[in-house]
Amino acid sequence: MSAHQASLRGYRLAALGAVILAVSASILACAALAYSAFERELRPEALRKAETVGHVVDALADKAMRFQLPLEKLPGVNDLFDSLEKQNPEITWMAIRVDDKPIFARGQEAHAKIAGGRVELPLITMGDPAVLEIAVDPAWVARLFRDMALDMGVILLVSLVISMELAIYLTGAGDFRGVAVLQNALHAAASGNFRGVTTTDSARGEARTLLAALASAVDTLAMKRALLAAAIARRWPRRHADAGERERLRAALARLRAATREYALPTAPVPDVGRVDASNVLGAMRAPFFLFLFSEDLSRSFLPLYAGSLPVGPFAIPVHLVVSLPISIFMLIVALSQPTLGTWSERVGRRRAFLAGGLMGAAAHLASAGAGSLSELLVLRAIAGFAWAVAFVAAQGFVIDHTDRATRTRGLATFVGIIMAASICGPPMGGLLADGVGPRWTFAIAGLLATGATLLAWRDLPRALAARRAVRQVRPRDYAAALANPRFAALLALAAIPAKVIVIAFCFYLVPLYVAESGHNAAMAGRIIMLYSVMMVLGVPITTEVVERIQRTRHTQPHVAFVAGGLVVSGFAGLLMLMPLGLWGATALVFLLGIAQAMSIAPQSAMVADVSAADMNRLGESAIYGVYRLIERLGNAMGPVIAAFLLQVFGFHTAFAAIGATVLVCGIAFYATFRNGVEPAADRKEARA
Amino acid sequence: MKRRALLAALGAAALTARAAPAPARPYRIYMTTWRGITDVEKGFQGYLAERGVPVQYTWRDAGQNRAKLAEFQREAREMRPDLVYTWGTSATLGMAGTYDAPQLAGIPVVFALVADPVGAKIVPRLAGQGRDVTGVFHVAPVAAQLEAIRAYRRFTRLGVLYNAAESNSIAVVSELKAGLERAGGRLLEARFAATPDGQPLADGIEERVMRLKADGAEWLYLGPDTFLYTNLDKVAGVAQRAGLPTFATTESLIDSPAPVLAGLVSRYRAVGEFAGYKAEQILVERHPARDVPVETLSRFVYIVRVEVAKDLAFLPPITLLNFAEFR
Amino acid sequence: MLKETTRSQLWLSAWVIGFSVAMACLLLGFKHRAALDGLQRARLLLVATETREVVERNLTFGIAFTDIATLPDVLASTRNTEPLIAGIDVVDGGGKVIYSTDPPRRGHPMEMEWRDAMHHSAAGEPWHARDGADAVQAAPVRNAFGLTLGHAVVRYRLDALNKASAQFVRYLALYGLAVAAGGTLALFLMLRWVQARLERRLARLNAAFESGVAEPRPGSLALEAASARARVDDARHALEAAEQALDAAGGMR
Repeated sequence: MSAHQASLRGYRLAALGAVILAVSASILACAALAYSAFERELRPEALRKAETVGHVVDALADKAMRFQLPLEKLPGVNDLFDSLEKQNPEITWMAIRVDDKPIFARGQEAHAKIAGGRVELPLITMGDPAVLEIAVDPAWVARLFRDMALDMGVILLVSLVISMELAIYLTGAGDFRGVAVLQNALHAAASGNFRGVTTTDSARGEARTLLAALASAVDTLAMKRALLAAAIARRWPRRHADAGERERLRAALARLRAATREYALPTAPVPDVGRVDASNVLGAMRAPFFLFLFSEDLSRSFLPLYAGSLPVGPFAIPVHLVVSLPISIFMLIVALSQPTLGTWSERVGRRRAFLAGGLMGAAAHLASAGAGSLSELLVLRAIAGFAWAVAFVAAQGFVIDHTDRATRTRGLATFVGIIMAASICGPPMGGLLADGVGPRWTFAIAGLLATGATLLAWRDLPRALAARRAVRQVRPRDYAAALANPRFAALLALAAIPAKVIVIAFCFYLVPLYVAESGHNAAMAGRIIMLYSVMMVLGVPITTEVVERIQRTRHTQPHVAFVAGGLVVSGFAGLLMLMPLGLWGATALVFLLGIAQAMSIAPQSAMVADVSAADMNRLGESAIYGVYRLIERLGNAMGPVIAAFLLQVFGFHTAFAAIGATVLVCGIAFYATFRNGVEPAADRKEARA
Repeated sequence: MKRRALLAALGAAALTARAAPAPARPYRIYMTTWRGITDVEKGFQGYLAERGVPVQYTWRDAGQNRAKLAEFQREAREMRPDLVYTWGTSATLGMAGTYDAPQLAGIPVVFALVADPVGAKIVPRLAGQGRDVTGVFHVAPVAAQLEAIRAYRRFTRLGVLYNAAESNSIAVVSELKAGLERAGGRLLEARFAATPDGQPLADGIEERVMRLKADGAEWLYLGPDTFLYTNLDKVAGVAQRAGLPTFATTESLIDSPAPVLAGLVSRYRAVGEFAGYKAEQILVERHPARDVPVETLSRFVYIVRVEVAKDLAFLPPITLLNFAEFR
Repeated sequence: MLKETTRSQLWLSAWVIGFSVAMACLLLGFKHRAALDGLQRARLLLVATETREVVERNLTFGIAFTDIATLPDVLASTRNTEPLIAGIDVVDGGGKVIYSTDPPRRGHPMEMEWRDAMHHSAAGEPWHARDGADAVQAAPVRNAFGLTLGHAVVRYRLDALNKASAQFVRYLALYGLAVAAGGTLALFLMLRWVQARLERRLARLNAAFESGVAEPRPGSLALEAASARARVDDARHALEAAEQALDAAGGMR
C-alpha cells in the first residue's frame, strides 16, 4: 500500500476515531450520572445487611453467655470474622471492642473511621459490656462499577461494529468507494496508464468533480485518438497514390502507435465500476443479512437458561438434556437443509429466498417469546434454524453470483466477516437485554429486528435477482458423484471437517465448561468466546489482502498453504492446553483459534470451486457448495459429541490435546496432498443478469 | 449420593402424600434386641406409628446372651414374619449370619446400631449388598469425625486406646490411621492390657493414657468399643487429670457421667427412625431389601460438655456455638 | 456540503449514540436493581437460615416437626428485628403452613406460586421466588437422614425495591436522553469536520489537477494529481504531433 492511499485512508480512521470518542464519552457520562445515585441508595442497604450479619454474631455471643463461656477467651472469633467477610464481600471490618479497645478485629480499620460507614451493636457478655463494630467498604460501589467496565467495553465494541455496518448501509459505501476509485485513477493517470483510469457514479462532492475532470480528460484523449485513427484509416487506401502521403501516413501511424502504447490510450470511454466491488460484494444484501443474523444471535446467550425455565410439555425430556437440545436441533436442521436449499434458492431467486427466510425467522422469534413449553420451543428453534439456513444460502448465493475466481476469496471473506460481526454483537446484547427486560421481550425484539431485515430486503434487493436460467434439479446421485472426486473428498476430510470440529468442540463446548470449572461465571466464558469472533473479523480481511497480494505479485495460489497453516495453528492451540495455564490458556486458545480459522476459512471455500471444477459444470455450483456446507456442518454436529466423549473419559487437558493433535496431523496431511497445486477452475466470469 | 437423593425425593413424596391405605392385615415385625429397649427402638416404632403403618411387633431381648439368639433364629424361621429387626452387631450376626454364611434366607432383615456392617461381614458392601439385609449404621464416617475434632481445635497427633479383641475397633483404628496420614497427621495407638488368650483387662489404663499424653497426643479418641464403654469413667477421668481432651463417637459415650469433652454422635432415636424408614421402604413401598442401601445418618449431633471444657481450660471456638449442642 | 451526506451522518450519529446510550442505561438500571435485590435477599436468607436452624435443633432433640411449642415466639421476635419482612412461615413438605407469624395462615396451604417454586427448587438448597410485588426467600428444613420435612419461608414485599428501581430508571432515562442528544450532536459535528477536511483536501487536488502545479512534496497526492495533469498534457501533445505529421502537407478532412 502506497503512502498516497494511506493518507486518504486516514480520514476513514479519523471518522472511526470520532465514533469511538463520542460513544465512549456518552457511556462514561451515563456511568458518571449513575454513580452518585448508586452511592446514595446502595450504601444504606449495605449497612442494613451489615446489621443483620451483626445479629448473627450477637446470637452467638448470647449463646456463649447462656453457657457462661467468657467471650474474650473464646478462640476462633477472628476466624469467624474472616469467613463472614468472605461471604459478604462488602463488609471489610469487623471488630469487638471492650472499653473502646478492640479485643477481636479483622479487616481494614480505616474503613471504620469513615462517617456513616459502619454499624454498631451492643453485645451482652459475662464481663464488661462489649460493642460489635462492622464497617462497609467505602469503595464497594466503585468496585461494582469496575465490574461493569468490562460490559461497558463490550457495548463500545458492539457500537463500533454497528456504526460500521450502518455507515456502509447509509452511504452505500459510496463515499469510501468514490475516494478509493479516485486514488486508483489518479495513480493510473500519473503513471501514464490511462486505460487504468476508472470512475464511479457513487462518488460525491469534490471527489466527484475530480473524477469527472479526470474522466473527461481521458475521454477527450480517447476521442482524439479515435478521430486520428479514423482519419488515418480513411486515407490509408490512398497511400500508394502518393509517396509523400505514404510517408505522412506511416509517420502519423507510428506516432499514433507509440502514443497509444506509451500512454495506454483507451479505446472506449472510461468505465464506471459501479457501487459494488469485491469487498462490498453483498451490496444491498448486506444490511438485511446482518440485521437478520443479529436477530438470530440475540438469543444465543440465554437460550439454555430460558429452555430450562419452561415446563417440559407433553414429552418427557430429562432436564439435563435441555441445555443442549435447542442448539443441537438448530444446527442439525441447518446441516440437513443445506444441500437442497442451494438449488432451491438458485431456482426461486436469491431475493425471494431471503424474504422467505426472513419472514420465517421473524415468526419463529415472535412465537418463541410466547412459548409455553419446552417442546414448543424446540419446534420453534427448528423453524428458526431452517430460516437461518435459507437466509444463509440466499446470501452466499448472492456472493457466488457476483464474484469470479479472482475475487471469490475476498467476497467469501467479507461474507464470513459479516457473520462474525453479527456473532460479536448478538450474544452480549442479547444477554444484556435478557437481564434487563427479560428473555421473552428479548425474543420479541429479535422478532422485530428480523421483520425489519425482511422489510429492508423487500425494499432494497433488486428484483433482477429473480429466477434466471432453469437450474438442473440435483439428485442424491449427484452428491455421491461430487464426493467421488477424491480431491474434493480429501478437502472435506482433511480440512473442512477438522476445522469445524475443532472450532465447535472448543468454543461451544469445552471452553465454556472449562471456564465454569475454573470457577468463573457464564459471562466470563461468553467474553472469552467473543474473542474468537473478534479475531475472525480482524483476521479475515487481512488474510484476503495477503492472499490477493501474493496472487498478484507471485502469480501463485497460496490457498493450500493458508488452509494447512490454519489447521496447524488450530492444532497447536489445542496442544497448548497441556500446560497448566488456567484461564489464560483458554484465552490464548480462543485467540489462536480465531487467527487460524481466519487464515483458512475463505481460501478453503475458494478451493472448493477449484478442486471440483469439472463437477461444477455438470452439477452446478449450488450442489457442490451444498454438499460442502452439509459435510462441514456435520463436522459442527460431531464436534460436541467427540469433545464430550473425550472429556468424560480423559478429562479436559487430554481432550484439548487429542483434538488438537489430530487436527495438526490433518493439516500436515492436507498440505502433502495438495502441495502440488490445484487445477484452477475455468474463469467463470459470465455476465449474470 | 445420587441414590440417596433419589430415595430422599421418594421419601419426601411419601411423607407429603397420605400414608398408604391400611392393608388387609398388619405387618409382622420380629424385633431382636441385645440389651433391652433403647431409644433406637423407640425411634423405630415411633416413625412407623407416625406414618400410620400398621404393625404387629414380636419383641425378643437377648440380654447380652449369644445362646438366646440361636433360639430366636429358629423361632423366626417358623413364624416367617414380614421383617426382622435387629439391634447391634451381635444380634444381627446371630440372626442373619455373615454374608458368606447366610441364615434366615427369605425374610428381609433391617439392622440398627451396627458400627461397621462391612467390617463385621454382615454385608460385603453398603449398596448392592446381594442379600436381603439392610439397615443403618450409627458411627459417623471417620473423615467426618476427624473434621469434627478439627473444628474444635486443630491437631496433628491423635491418641486412641482400644480393645484389640473387638474387630470393630481394629477396623476403626486402621481407618483412623489412613485418614490421618492422608491429612498429614499421626495416630498414637495404645491397647488395653490383655490376658494370654486375648481377653481385655482393666489394668494399666492410667499408664497407657499418660504415655499417650507424653508422646504428644493432643486428643484422645473414644471409639465404638464396648470394653472402653464399660471402663469409661476410669479412662475419661485419667485423661481429664492429664489435660487430654476426649472425643466420643457414640451417644452412650458422651451421655455418660464420665468427663468426656465432645463427640460427634448419632441420636439413637434418629437411627431408629431411619431404620423405620427403611422398614417402610421394604414393607409398604415393596422394594426388595437388597435394593435398599445400608446408610448412616446425614446429620450427626455435635455435643460439647461445657463444664469439662472449662475444667480443661480448653474452650470451644465461637463458631461451634452455631451447630453444636452445648450441655 | 452535500445534503445527502449530511443527512446520513446525522442518522448514523443518532442511531449509534442512541444504541450505545440505551444499552449502557439498560446495563446500569439492571445492575442497580440487582445490587439492591441481592442485598435484600442476602439479608432475608440469613433470617430464613436462622429460623431453619432453630427448627432443626428442635428436631434433633426428638421433638416432632409439628410440635415445636417455642417456635411461634421465636418467629415473632425474629420478624420484629427486620422491618422488611411481611411474615415468616414454616411449612411442611406439601406447602401447608404449620407455623406462621400471621395466625390466620396456619393450617392452610401456601400460595400456589410459592408452592410451585418450592417444588422446582433443588433439593436441600435455599430458594427464592417472586410474584408481582410479593417475594419469598426460603430455606429447606431437613431431618437427620436428609429428608426435607419442610421449609422456613420468609415473605416480604418488593414495593420499596420497585419504587427505588423505577425512580432510578426515570432519572437515568431523563439524563440519558440529554447525554444521547449531546453525544449525537458531538459525533455529528466531528464527522462533519472530518468530511470537511476531506473535501478541502480533495479541492486542493482538484486545483492541482487543473493547474498542473503542486508543492514538490514527494509522494503526496497533490503531486500525483499534478503529474496526472502533466501526463494528460503529454499525451495530448503526442497525439497532436501525430496529427501534425499527418497534416504536414494536405488536410485531414
